[in-house]
Amino acid sequence: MGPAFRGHLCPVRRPVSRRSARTIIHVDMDAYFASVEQRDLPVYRKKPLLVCHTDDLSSYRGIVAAASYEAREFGVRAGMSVLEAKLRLPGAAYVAGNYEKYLHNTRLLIRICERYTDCLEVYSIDEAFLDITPTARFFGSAEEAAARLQGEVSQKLRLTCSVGVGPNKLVAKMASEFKKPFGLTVIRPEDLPEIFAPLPVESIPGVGRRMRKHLDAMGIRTIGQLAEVPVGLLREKFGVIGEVLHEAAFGIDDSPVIPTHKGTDVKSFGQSLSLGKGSADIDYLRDVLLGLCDGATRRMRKAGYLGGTVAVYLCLGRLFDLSRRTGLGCYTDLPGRVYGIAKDLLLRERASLDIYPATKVGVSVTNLIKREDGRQISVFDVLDERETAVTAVVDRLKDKYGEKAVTRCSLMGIRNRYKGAPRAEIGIF
Amino acid sequence: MAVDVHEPIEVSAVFTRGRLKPVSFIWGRRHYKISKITGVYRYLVGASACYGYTVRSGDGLYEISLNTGEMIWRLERVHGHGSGV
Repeated sequence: MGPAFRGHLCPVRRPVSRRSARTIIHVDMDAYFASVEQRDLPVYRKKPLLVCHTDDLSSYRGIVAAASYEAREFGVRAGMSVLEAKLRLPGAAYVAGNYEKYLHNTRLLIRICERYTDCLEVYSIDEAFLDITPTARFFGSAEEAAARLQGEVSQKLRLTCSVGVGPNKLVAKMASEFKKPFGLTVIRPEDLPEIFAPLPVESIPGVGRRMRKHLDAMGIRTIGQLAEVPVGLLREKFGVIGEVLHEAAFGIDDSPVIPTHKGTDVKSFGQSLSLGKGSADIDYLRDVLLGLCDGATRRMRKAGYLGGTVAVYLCLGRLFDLSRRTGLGCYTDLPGRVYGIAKDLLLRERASLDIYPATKVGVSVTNLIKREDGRQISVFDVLDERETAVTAVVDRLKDKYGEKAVTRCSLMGIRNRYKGAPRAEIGIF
Repeated sequence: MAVDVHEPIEVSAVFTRGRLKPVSFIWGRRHYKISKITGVYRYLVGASACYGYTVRSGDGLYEISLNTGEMIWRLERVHGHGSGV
């Protein structure tokens, strides 16, 4: 059965890229965290290994951050809870993630990539885009450059990566997924329709479970079917995202490779904490929120931003998500001011918390301005003098001795004080 | 399975070809001769540079670290056969 819109009178117009021809390489490290551990810890080589984001490996809390290819054969994937992974694969090796070690390897990877182009976008801890349009000829061709890069990573880091080459970031990223591990895939613009048409829609980066459901309801399961839908219909249904989807179906993506050193404007600073089975203890949640405000504002101060709006996110039970936001009335980077507002937002949801325990708490600060752009002096600023001074000292201590060097008395032993209140995963967004 | 330790240890190390190479360590009155360094990484704790090493001694794999600010070596974790602690 074809899509429901077949027979639509409006013919499908093929979108055209607004950019000149480019050649982009996408480098994606294979099972990154697990591969680093298997390289450094030979006892785990060729065995199912799960790198977990947890504070206690003997417990069932936390999530799987990476699974080795041997573990993936048993259906265990990154993002799965440790509980589910241990039920599926009780005999696997479990290690706690060592993010300092992974970051060190990422820095080495960046150093290798920089030898191929100066237009390098570090997309995540294990992914990077390289615009090699101007430099490909020095290596013979883009394909040769990609093969050489892959070989260099393998030789210098003793890790494998999959590489995709395409006319834009979207196609390069999809290409790197084609052959894993240690694959090299080149997609030329003329081959796009033939390669893309049979692929499921979820192979487009950004199309998740929800979007797939919507598309499925429209009878769209493959990229070929998506390409047949008039852009007007997609725009009507999904707004701006509809246009992006339409272009993606034709392998068009005009987004530039943004060199990491140039950076992009930060929109928000946030931090969240998953609470496992959840908690309705308002004192505990208040303390958690205070710790999150400390973390988010510390990052704001390091990056030199002030925020004007605070938002609190709560996941209630397994069913509901809610977010509440309000303006600060001034711009600040102090934890006390942000926490004061966040706490009020939390307390307003007390009635809901009595029914559904919070399984995740998050706070974010938006409406940002750069500190050097100046700060409006408000009538409350005089009250902040003490906190400004204390925060500056705490920042200096942390800069010198590390993030764990100093903490608030009220946050010390938070887990012990609230027995049974689980701490699973801290997220930064 | 890995066992977390996080205890200070005594380490003998040599500087060779611009690198710091641990050669043996003493943990719990026992001497461990390092037969191979399987991994090295650098990170910061505050302003102090730290180095993490994964080393092999006998059947065991050990993660040790050096905080250059405190000049303290620690045994962080034990893996594999030698982890019967």
